[in-house]
Amino acid sequence: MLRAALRSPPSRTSVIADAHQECGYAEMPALVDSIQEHLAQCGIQPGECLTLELANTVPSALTMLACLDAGYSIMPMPIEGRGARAVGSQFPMARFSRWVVTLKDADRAGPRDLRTPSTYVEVRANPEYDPSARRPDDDPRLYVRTSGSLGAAKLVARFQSRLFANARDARERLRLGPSHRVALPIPIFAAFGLGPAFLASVLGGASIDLQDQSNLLRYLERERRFVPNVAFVTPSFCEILVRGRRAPRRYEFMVTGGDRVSRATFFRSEELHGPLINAYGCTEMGFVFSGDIDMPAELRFRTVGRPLPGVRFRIVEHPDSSDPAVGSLQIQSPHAFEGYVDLDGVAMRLEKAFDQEWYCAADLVKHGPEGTLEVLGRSDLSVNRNGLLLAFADLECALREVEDIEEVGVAAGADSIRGRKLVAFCALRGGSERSEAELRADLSSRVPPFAVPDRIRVVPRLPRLPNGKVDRRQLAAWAQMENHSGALQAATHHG
Amino acid sequence: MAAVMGPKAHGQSDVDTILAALKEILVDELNVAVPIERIDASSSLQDLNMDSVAMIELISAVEARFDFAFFDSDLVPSTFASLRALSEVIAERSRSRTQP
Repeated sequence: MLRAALRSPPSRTSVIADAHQECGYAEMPALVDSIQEHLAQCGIQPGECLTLELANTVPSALTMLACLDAGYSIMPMPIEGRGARAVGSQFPMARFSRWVVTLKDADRAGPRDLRTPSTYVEVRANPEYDPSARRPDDDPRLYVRTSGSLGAAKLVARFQSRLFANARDARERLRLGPSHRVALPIPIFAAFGLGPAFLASVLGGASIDLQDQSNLLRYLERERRFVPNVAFVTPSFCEILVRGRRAPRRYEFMVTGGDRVSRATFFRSEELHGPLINAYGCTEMGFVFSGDIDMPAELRFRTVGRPLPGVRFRIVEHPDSSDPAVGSLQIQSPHAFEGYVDLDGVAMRLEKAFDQEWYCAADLVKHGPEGTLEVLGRSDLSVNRNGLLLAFADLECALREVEDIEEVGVAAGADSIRGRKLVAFCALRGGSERSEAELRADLSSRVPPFAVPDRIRVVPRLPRLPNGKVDRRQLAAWAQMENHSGALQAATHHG
Repeated sequence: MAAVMGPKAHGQSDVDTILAALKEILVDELNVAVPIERIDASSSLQDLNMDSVAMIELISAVEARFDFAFFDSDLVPSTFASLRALSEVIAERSRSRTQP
């Protein structure tokens, strides 16, 4: 499927671009061939697993396409010292990956000579490689590190054939084609950026603007030059665009996935950009639910749309939910992952991940209208209060609407007579001196009494994981210190 | 701390006065984690460890202090390459706002 898209692209005028250069689809077959020759000359054998260190650039994208097309198993990740692999972060290499293929001088500005791969592709032996670990794959796989905000790191193994089939379904649902110019400020080494965004766009023959380490200013500058009509954004980047942009700029559509976007952000984005599509997926199952531009805005806001072809789901009872319509999401997909492996490539058994043949998605959901799905929040990030289920995500959305609250994370603390104590940690916008009592009073006018947390604590900033997600374990640890205000003060100000 | 300059003063503002006001915004309103004596005209937002959220706060604070609105075309890396570059854009916008 990828081979056909690369060798006879659906468009000969579309391009893949970054801030420094662009490459036409027509040029890609020859460039992919030259990269494959270079990798073979470096000694890489068919079926071997490569750790691919990538940036959102044209040379990185071509290298990844060349590896996928050649049938190597790949493990994409950010380049050492950048982004989620900033100095000091824990990022052990898999011992079954023999080679590390990386983009040379990733931060050097300026175009590369794409016809000479040795000038931008560096191949080195993985110092952690252990020949007794997993043998070469006869069926190439994609390995993706998953950290989640709550658990230990593990690798998700997925057949590449399934990745491509899922990207094809994403392309069809989003109707991506050669007329589209897609802005990609999300990393192509992560699940959302790789499958539904990058590969689906390639399969559709769309032009793609790869934005490396994007921020508001870089995005707006690239927007003027590349003139995109589609964008894939994280919920937090959507919020940044909505708050930073000064005038409307119409897109055919934008796609977001991950945490829920607040109502205010969603509808402001609709005013500024046009339709915003909520999608739902995960590293394990790929892209499994998505809205589309034909759905009314309210339905696109409330739900993650309908399942993709072949995806089945069911909603099972959750012990904390008193609403029979609300339960935990379980999914089956023909394009699902194969399983988890450890750093030696040995299969890990994770009982919690499966209920017989169903993958347990750890999200609380309910049916939406017309076959859609409404995601309320993570099932392990919720509490039962006064017999009612409260998803932290809902409370966090409400808190974000409170004046001066910049970022917020909710955690459950020690047990109290009324159940588990709920603590909201809030960082305020610069210069704000609103007190915890004022924030609480403001929130109380927005949510029912059972949803008002026991404590609202103002902290300088929320703890974050190297990948930028809120560190939920740290928040839970802070919530446990709630009765020892001295320790909490020390942890939140210096932790 | 009293504002170095308010919206009414920008007609006669020069870039140095704007620079001083910017430093005040960064330290007093945005709480940047860099001592004021280490912030100078050549400091970039990167030097001040400012991410996109902090950048939006700076943009909003500048618009409130100098009583104008940036155009989207102002919001490019070159505007924020240094505090002097930003001050020059602010001076330009302030001048065009006061001209009939």
